[in-house]
Amino acid sequence: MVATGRRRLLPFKFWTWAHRAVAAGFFLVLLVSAYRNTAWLPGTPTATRLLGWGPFVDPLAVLEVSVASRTVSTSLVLGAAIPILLAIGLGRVFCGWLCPLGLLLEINEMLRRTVLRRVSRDRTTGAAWAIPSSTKLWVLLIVLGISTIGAIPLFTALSPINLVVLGAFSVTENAAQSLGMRVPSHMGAFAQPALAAIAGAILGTIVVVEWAVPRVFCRAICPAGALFGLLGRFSLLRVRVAPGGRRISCRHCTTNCPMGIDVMTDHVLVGHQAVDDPDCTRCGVCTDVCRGGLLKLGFRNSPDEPEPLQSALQKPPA
Amino acid sequence: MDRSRRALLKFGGALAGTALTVLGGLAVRTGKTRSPPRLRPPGAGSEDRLLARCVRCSQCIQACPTTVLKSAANDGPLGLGVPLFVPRDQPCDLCAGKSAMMCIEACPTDALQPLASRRDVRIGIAVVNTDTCLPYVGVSCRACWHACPFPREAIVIDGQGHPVIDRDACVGCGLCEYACLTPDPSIRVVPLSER
Repeated sequence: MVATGRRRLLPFKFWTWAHRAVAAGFFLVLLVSAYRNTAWLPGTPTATRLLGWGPFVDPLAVLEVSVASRTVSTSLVLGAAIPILLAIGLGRVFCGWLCPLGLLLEINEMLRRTVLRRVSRDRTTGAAWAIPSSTKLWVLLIVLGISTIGAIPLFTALSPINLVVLGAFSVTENAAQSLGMRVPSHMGAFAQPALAAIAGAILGTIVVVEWAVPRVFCRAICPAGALFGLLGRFSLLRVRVAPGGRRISCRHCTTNCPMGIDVMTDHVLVGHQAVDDPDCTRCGVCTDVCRGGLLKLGFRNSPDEPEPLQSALQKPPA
Repeated sequence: MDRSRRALLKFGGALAGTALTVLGGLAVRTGKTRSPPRLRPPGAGSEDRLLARCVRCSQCIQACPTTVLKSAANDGPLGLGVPLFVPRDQPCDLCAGKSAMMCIEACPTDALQPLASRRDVRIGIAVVNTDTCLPYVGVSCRACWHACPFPREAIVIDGQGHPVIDRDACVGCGLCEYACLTPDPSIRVVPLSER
């Protein structure tokens, strides 16, 4: 995207395209299985199954349903077990590798940068990142509070992640029917304009706002992402910072991070062993653009884990 | 000065957050009841119970073998994606011939509760409009009785040939409403909350 003519270990930006391809594949298989074979991957990202295995339910949805219905059932909690374990082991990996809204907003950001590059050289405007990422923890608390008082799983009901998929179901169904294909009708033809209005309003707002405040939703608002970030605080999979190597401060990691993490200043230059950030989705974009070859995806405590860096660049702890 | 101002800001923020939570919660509580009463899938229980437990994942809708269940969109943002069906368009056949009711099987959060028997389904209650129902106006008809999955239990034909609903046996599947011969159905399923 930014740098050209540099040496890469992989012939193309492998992780950058891999995480986008996986998210796109997840989204497409959801659509296809809804209308071809619901045994494959039924439902939406909020709750799904895979080839008869599951259910796999969003941990935030389980939390919200528990407080809204004032019951905790084992089957409900078991549904979130695998996603919770994945988050504990792999951090916010859902956000980077599966979330269809994350993919949509990443494409939106690519578009924004392409357009703005023609206007100004400034790709990440400083003020744009002003909303702190901890805001989403407050959103999480408020959403759980409203779910409790209102007796409805609030974020789950309005989830833009879910709305991307419900909207896509509706578009797919209409397109298939107008092409004369025989597909089951799930959306109910009478309801299309209302769905379009609600989904369009919520998703449109996010997309438009992100042109002014890039990636603000995933980074600072999404309560589901906040919960994944809390769970993955000590995850095994991380982007490692190799000791030694060339720290040329090209800052490509920082300018390209889809989550707006200042990888260079907050992690590399202070000598962190890994990019231990609750917002890191392990998408691997920074490892692709690192010109010094410092950043690599790897597991904590694996035999090839490097020792913590002790270099002249290390700042004294604040 | 700076410290006290920061403390004031924090206090203000906490107050605003609490107010937002309480007011938002109350708004949601009243807002969710705005939607018209709907017929929900088997095992849903009360409307409040369903709205609290449904995660809007569409799995029941996709699992429905007769594509009776639809994703709600006209019930405002809070009801979006919650399953419903309209019996005059398509009635619920309670998965006749299947080993279980597929929507209940598919539900990942027990928003649709497993039921011991199809007789335990309580979607709504059929109500006969005696002004238009054919036997009541003098024309012999048993369309609803023939369609009913529990004839002689949920719908009984009385001595005058009129269909009479047993409120304890009717499950609210809507097969009668679908089968009714009058252009505007003379037998309608009303949701339990309206009873």
